[in-house]
Amino acid sequence: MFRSFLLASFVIGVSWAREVDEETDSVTAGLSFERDVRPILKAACFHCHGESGVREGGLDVRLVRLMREGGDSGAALVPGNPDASLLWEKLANDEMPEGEKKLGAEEKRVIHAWIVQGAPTARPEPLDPEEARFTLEELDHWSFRPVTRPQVPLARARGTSPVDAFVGRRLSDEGLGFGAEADRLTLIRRLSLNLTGLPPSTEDVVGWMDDARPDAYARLVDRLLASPAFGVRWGRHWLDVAGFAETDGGPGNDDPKRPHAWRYRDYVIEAFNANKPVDVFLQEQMAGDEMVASAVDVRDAYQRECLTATGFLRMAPDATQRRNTLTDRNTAVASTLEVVSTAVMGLTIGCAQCHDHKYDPIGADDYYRFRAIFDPAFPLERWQTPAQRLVDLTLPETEAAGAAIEAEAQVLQDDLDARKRALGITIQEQKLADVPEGDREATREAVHTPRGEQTERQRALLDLYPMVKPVSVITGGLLVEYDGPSYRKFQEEQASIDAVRARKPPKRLIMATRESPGSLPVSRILFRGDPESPREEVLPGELAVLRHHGAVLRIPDNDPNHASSGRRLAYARHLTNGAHPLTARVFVNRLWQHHFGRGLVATPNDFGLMGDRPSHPYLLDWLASEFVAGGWDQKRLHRQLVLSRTYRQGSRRRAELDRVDPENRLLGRMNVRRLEAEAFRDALLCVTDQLDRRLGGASVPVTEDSQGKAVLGVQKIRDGLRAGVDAAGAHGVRRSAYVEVQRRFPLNVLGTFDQPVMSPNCEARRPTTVATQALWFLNDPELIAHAERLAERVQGLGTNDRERLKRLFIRLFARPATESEWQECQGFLHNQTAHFRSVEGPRDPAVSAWAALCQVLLASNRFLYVD
Amino acid sequence: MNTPLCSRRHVLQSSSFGLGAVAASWLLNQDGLLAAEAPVARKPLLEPETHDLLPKTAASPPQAKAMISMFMLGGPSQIDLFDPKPELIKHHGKTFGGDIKFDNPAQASREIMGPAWKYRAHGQCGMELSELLPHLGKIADEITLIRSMHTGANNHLPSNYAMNTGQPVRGRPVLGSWLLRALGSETQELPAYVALTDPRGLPLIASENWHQGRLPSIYQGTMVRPKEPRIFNLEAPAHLAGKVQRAQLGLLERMNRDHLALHPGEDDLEARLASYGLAARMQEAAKEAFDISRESEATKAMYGIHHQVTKDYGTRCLIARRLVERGVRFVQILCQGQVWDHHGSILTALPQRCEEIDQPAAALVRDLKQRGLLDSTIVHWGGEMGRLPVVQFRQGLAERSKIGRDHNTYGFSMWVAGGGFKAGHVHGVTDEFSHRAVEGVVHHYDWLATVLNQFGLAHHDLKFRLGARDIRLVEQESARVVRELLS
Repeated sequence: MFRSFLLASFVIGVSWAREVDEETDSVTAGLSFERDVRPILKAACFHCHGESGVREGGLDVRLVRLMREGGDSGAALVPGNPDASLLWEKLANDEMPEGEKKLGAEEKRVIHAWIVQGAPTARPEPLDPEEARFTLEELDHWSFRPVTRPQVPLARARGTSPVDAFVGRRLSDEGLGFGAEADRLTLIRRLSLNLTGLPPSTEDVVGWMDDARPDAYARLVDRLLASPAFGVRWGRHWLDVAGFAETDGGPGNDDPKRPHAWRYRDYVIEAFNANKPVDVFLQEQMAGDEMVASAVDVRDAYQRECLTATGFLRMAPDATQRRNTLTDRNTAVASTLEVVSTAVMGLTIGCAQCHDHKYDPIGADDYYRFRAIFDPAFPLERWQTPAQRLVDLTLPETEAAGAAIEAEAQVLQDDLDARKRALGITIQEQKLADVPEGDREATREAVHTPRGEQTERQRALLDLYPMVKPVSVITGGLLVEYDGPSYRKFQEEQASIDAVRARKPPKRLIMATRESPGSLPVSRILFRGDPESPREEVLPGELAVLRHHGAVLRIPDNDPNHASSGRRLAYARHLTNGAHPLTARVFVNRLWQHHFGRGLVATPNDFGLMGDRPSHPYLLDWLASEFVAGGWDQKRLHRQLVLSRTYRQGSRRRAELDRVDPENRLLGRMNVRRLEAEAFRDALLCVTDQLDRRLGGASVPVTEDSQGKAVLGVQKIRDGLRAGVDAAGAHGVRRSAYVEVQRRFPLNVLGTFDQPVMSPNCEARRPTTVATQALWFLNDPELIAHAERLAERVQGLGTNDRERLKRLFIRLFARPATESEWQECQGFLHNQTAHFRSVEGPRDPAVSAWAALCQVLLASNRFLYVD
Repeated sequence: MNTPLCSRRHVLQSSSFGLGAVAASWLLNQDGLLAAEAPVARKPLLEPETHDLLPKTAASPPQAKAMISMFMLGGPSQIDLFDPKPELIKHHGKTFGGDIKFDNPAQASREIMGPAWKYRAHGQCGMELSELLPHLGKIADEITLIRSMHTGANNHLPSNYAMNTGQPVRGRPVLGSWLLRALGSETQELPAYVALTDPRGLPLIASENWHQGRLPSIYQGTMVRPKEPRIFNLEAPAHLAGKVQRAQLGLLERMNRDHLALHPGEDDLEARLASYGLAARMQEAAKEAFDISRESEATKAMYGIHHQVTKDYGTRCLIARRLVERGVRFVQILCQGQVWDHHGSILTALPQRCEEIDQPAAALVRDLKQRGLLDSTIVHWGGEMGRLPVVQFRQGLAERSKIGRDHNTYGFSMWVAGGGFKAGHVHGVTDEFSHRAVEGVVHHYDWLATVLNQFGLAHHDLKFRLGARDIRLVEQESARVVRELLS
């Protein structure tokens, strides 16, 4: 059976303890249990020998002392003498650990050397092994320590920004320096796409090239940050982290929709555009319901906003609308907590759901203390299905208008239903008439008897005369078979009644998170993650490792006068109090990731021991502390990053840099990046003058066309069968952030360019380069239509081809064509015009040639990549 | 290095520490954050490596040139299909006393369940197979049945990763990608590595089944849709087909080369150039390869294409043969989700699954043989696990129709034919309850090492440089080529 939390654990993998250098013996010098040996045993042995009270063979290997005492087979460890140590014997000949994962040669070497050295410990061991669950080495992992405020390195050049001072210092220590600044045209395209997800317009480019003011770049940055497109772009990045999806996911082949999820998407985009302080942004998402009165005033925009924000806790896959077992509920909770912990804290706390985290100092008890914060909103026993927990914030006047229309529709509906039923009775009588007289009355009685009460003889009769069915069945799915013409006439009538109903103003339903009033659930540790095996009770609390570093989390006692426990709000405030070691670091790193193509920590959802180490730890801390000190002001942080020299470098590789740093961790150049799926589609719509830039509202639906392709539009159903797609029409050109996000069936162009499947969230996009993308560029009707449209537009761009091409290049690539490009393209146009002239076609041969050219340019790497 | 080389952490570390000793020591000394880590020296690559799919010569003469893997995600029950145990029948209904590991303890029991279907000896070799696989029985003399597979990673994802990538962790390159990396492709007109998916939906973990991990992206498998159009956009619109499109491709290549000249060494830009060449040639070749209309009626009948139950799987098996015939290196035929995961309703679901695949799978082997392709093609049939000898009660003890078997990765069966594997051979033994492999154990890494060997590749030499170190498909020092399987 597949369980989603396992996904999280396997991201972590089975890698063992620590790096060692095979060429020296420094590895085996001065070993200690805590630093060198325990991590190996923790990953391989603790599960059966020590953890959760399990001591197979009576042996506990969590302390050296306990290994010396040994188990049923006597002492496991004889310091100084590996050959007399049962521990060594079992590990050396792969008898232990059981299962496929054996220790590697290096691990064995470490353990052997450590025993030879007398099995030293770093410090005296505690009496109770529970106290030694986590070593100082684990507890002291960099990301758990408080954020520091590092000194900005001294830089030679005056006016060097702190970002550049930190990055420059690293480079110069390697004997390297910054690369040359990218040219102005490259910069405006990069900056526009980064900040707004859209290429610059021709006017933008021309204006920028003419702007000789010394602060022109800063002005450009400010203008882009102020654009509403900024929120769409950066909101979309956060939606990846939140795992925004408009279907339920979970097991099974269907993937039911979440028609109200878009309100959370709008909340996020608005928050980014309003530059909502990030501490408030996080608080609202985790506990917005507890920030407002429990009886929400539907006319109060702030209250609605706070409640909408809590959709964050509803984005994870949740199958309970369809299959609502304890396991399904538990899976939904686990996925939600996985999103919260990876998104906000950059920790894979979810790995401690079944057993202590294999690598991070997070115990299963920590996991359930963390979970207890959320339990009142996610009570396994008093579970609400997704439909039950929708909060209706419809305005009363909207409600009244809807009711009036419904009443109108109901009159029509009652009339239709009555006529349908009358027809059903007639049909039933006709069919009964076909039954031989001897059986007729008995069959009539049988079909009027409820199914459960039928006698065996009655069932036999109905089997014998299958055409005799209850009226409800006749007027239901079978009417088309009984009386096709009437069926179709009824269908048409029904459609017009539905059209009346469709006039109803939509209700405002919110996918919110709220606690149901009443007694709090008792939170318990679930043994090995099994919701059927609750064990000891736990209270909500902070992770032990963060308590170790002085974190104090005060959770209020439940106030019976308040509808909510206040746990999540207390926790959200704690996370954003400025002293929490992870929240600011993790958020700052995400911004860095999207500006530079990779985070300072390359695993943005995992700051734990198995995650990446920061490439620039001082810089990360400086940015985090600066971010908090500046009031969690996101746009200010963007400014700091994009104004830096580091950001403004060219992206060309340099030999001296590649020799030392082929992956560009030192940032001696900018990274070349491919546009994400959404940005690519938006750019296509933008350069062809089609893009609808409006913000907000319900998503443009995605459905399957007759070829099995995911397209925009709504499926038409006729006679219960699919009957083609009602295209989305004008809505089909909205920005991609407003395209419905399905877990199983992404819009073709977005799926082709690697839109991720949310399960439950996505820490970084993973672009592929496959032939199907090339085929899309060559043959897809959608791209060809864009190219033809662009070709029509081009005709108005100038009086001659040279002029047209110049403007087209600026529009697509933010730079004019070079002389050799002009020659190439001119030759192409000449030949293709001649070709199209030689064949019959509906279009002007010259325009057809331009369309073929536009298609090439839209497919080119200059368009698809950001330099 | 003692770290299994391609955990995600490893990959990232190799990048964070691939900076030369000076850089690493700067990190260590200046930050004091990494006290437990040791610097790693590396030799820099002076010339950026280039990647292509041109055919390469194997280190030693290969037996196999291609492979078709019919991957049975979910874990078919070896007890009911491949591994008869008289003891299980004898103890049916009694309590299992031995050590056992459940994936789903909540529904577990220790009630022994013998196979619900009869076994019969087949072929001259007398291979015992379940009555659920009558067609396989007819080719028993062509296959090697391995009854002693073992991964020990007791859930679908890790065990699937183990079987396909060599380690039970996410993110590593799959076998097919490694084969492309080592051997390129015999055809430049078809995707070198094809994943044929099920009309019912994508397999569990979807594209991860054919993902190249950290290898260059040209080694990724190409997913082929289960229905027409098998690959979208394979045909150019009429007004562009031919001359115009050739001119477009020429111009596009020149433009992309100009752009690449500004970014020498950008692997992704190079891969995209290559992808166009492939796409253009694919348009012609793939259409022909996927078109089974010109196959004889006898061939179609052999694959069961005339019957609704076997039509889909038969079509995909036949397409797999056509692809291999045309030089494709590696073909995966994948099931939807994890359809062999019979925790409940095994009594009804297992026969259905078998009926769908038995005839097509056997036909594939026979067809390859009669065309002289079997010797050079490894045909593999198997999943990532088998099942336990005890009952899993899906809906409580009272509901005996909803019973099944839980996961077992300690002893399970699969079969392989052609490519230099023995014919009419049974390898390995599980304990008397078909729970754990006890004799001739074949670990997933042994299996992968053996496959590589048949392609003329030594598993310890097949590696890829990633920053400071190499990754390999087979990382285990103890991995071995299982010579007993080979003819």
